Amino acid sequence: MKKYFLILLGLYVPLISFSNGGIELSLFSHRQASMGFAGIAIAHRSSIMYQNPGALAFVYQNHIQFGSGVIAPFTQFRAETPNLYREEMNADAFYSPIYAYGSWRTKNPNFTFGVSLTNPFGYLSSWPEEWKGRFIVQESSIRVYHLQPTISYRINEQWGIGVGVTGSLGSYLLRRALPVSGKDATEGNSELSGRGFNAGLNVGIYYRPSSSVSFGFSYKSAMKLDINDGTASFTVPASLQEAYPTTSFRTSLRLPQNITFGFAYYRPTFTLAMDLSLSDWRQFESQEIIYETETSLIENEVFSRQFTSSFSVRMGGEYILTEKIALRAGWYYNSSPIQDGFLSPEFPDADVVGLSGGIQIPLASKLSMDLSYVYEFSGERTDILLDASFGGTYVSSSNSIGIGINYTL
Amino acid sequence: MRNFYSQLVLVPVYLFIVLAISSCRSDLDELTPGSGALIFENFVAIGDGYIAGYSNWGLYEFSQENSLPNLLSQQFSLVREIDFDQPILSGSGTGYNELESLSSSACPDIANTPIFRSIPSSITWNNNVSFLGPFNNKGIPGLKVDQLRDTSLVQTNPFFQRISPNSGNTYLQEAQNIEADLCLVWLGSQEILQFSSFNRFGIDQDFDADEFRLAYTSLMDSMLANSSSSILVANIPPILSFPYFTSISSSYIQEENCITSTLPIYISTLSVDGEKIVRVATEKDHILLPALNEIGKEENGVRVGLSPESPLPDSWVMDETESSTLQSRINVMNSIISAMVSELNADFNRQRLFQVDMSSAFEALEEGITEDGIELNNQYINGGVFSLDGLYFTPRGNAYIANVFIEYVNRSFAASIPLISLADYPAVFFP
Repeated sequence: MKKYFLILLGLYVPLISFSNGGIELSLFSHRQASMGFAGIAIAHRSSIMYQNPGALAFVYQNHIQFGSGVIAPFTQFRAETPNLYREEMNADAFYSPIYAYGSWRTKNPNFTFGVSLTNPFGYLSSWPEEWKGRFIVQESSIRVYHLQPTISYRINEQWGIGVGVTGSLGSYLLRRALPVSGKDATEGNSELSGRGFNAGLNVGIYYRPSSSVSFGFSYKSAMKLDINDGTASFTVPASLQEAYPTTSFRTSLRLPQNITFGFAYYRPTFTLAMDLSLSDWRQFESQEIIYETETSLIENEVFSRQFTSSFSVRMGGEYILTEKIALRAGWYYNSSPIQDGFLSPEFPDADVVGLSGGIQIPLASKLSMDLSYVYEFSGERTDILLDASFGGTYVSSSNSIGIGINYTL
Repeated sequence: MRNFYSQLVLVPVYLFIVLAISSCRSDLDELTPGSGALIFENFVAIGDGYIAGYSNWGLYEFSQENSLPNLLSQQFSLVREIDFDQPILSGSGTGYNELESLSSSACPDIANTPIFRSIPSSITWNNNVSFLGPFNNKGIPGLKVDQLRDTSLVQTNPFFQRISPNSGNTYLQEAQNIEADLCLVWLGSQEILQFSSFNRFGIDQDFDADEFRLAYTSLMDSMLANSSSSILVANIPPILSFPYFTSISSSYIQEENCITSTLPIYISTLSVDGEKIVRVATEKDHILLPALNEIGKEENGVRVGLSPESPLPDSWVMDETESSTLQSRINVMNSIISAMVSELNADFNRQRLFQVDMSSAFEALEEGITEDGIELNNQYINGGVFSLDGLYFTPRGNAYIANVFIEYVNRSFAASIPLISLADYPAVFFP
């Protein structure tokens, strides 16, 4: 049996893209991105191995792919009435996940193995240093990388099943001002940063009853990344330095369990896909920051989160213009897992709608390029963060542009 | 099969149309501030050090710029541009205190030991500036209600002397020299704290309830003479909960390697029969802020306050009897104010006097409140509200109190005057 060797290198720079609740990115290929992120039922390229391990067994060709992009996020804030204060997130903040795919077949053509490195969760909120909410957040981010060895088995002509073990590495940052002023009216500052690791399971099923339709299903387990040795550092006036020593802290990042179901419909010139995804964030009740050293001014903190489940509806289509050129479009709707009373400027999430479009064009005989563009927006969301008594109205939108290069071996 | 799938495709199309329309993005609307039923062309504030902007044991340019009524006038100006003239003392004014150092402890629950530095006064601070008036801020540190009609106030109170053009004027006469259709009046605290000298507050022994009522009523009568005026009358806050009275514990805490032990504190006071005695302080006694760095100091071989031979003097202690006297005095004054407001209002067709109750704002500080991620409470130095004198406010404290008045005005007049962001104002400055 021929040994197929697939390396997919997707270098991706979508910056803040919100799907399934602000923190969950679903950008695993630019083709999928331009189709509203739908496509769990499509066994097109190796990139499907993270979305649906079961579909990997039905991917036949070798590709080398990489991509990059730019996102411009935009969140406006207006303070709780009556107040004239308005502010915006820093326009120059961006975020760029990176991922890679590799898969190969054994002598037995029914088994396909793969390893993927993806960036399925992340966000970045960057506010002006002097803004009204600076004691809650000036900059905060979470970045999660998943490394997943995957086995996919083609049961018969119609069914495929797969499983991956997901190693997850997460990093966390929270930088905010402290309400203590020095002689020249400079304010104090605190920065928390740390990393945590854990592992989980990713299973998928692929079903292709005919050449015109296919179904996909995946389940990803929840994961709790424990950050045990984060660094807490403080900048304060000299007289307070003893009360604010650099110390370590513990916290946990909770990633939700997720089930996604989708189908795809194939015609000679076009493909339609639709996914429904449900992420169970309910485990995320609160985030605790436990400091190693407590002093008269440093106390352990609890941020109430009380996340609820969120769901996502995605739909997209691809139209084959010529053998080498394809046009894509799609849309999606994500509900926010953040309930009223818990909306924080650390990640001001809301229910969002996204519109996407993209094109695949040939560059050379074995080289093609995917371009994707996603515009996402939310309605106004007004809430008071009860913990900090910080209320206001947020409205967000973001633009993402992605470029992917594909080389067919 | 094909038809079913084709139709399935229509479902998300419909969903898309519905959801896209319902979540159209719009830019955030501007809030239009308005004064509702409240009409004002000018604003005048009447009161004592709380109105003048006294802070950190002094009155000086920075503290006046951040005074309570000045902050209020800035918010009112968002609705209608108004002037608010204050008798500014440039630079260091009367002189004030700041923190020179803070031996803050790395041990949890051990209090800081502050060391203060006094900033000298500016030489010309008590020059007469009445020619720059009349002033909208008529706050006079130390002003008692029973001094409102006093012709000798000019001689006894330098703050009044510097803004008064004539040597025989009473405060009442000065208060009338400016048109005021919106007034804020906050008096009475000096009936509790006698302003005897800088850096020291004594407890006023004499109080005449009738004189208080008559003087306050005549002030109200003169303000009401302007037929368009609306007067906000703030009552007396729970002063005895301020850190001047509460920040020093009634037993002395000794700390070594984060382990504490307590020693009794001896005070010199009067017994129930009125005799001078020396006894151990109980939780019902209050040790006053001036004693802060003095207790435990070695003096002639004895530690001050820690032995019966060297008890804390009376001026540093408000014992149980004194504190209940003062508390009932506050209650009496507040019921006089309340009765006065209703009686005077009865004479008019529309409500002219509006009583603003200050107690809940300060009760909230006992537990502590959080706003915009900033914690405020009534602790000394770290609480954010009170300045180094333990009685008057930091700029952030003034912003907190100003919001009490703004919220009251918004409620009572259906106005939408923007609130102040506490984050815009500093609290104590740390070295």
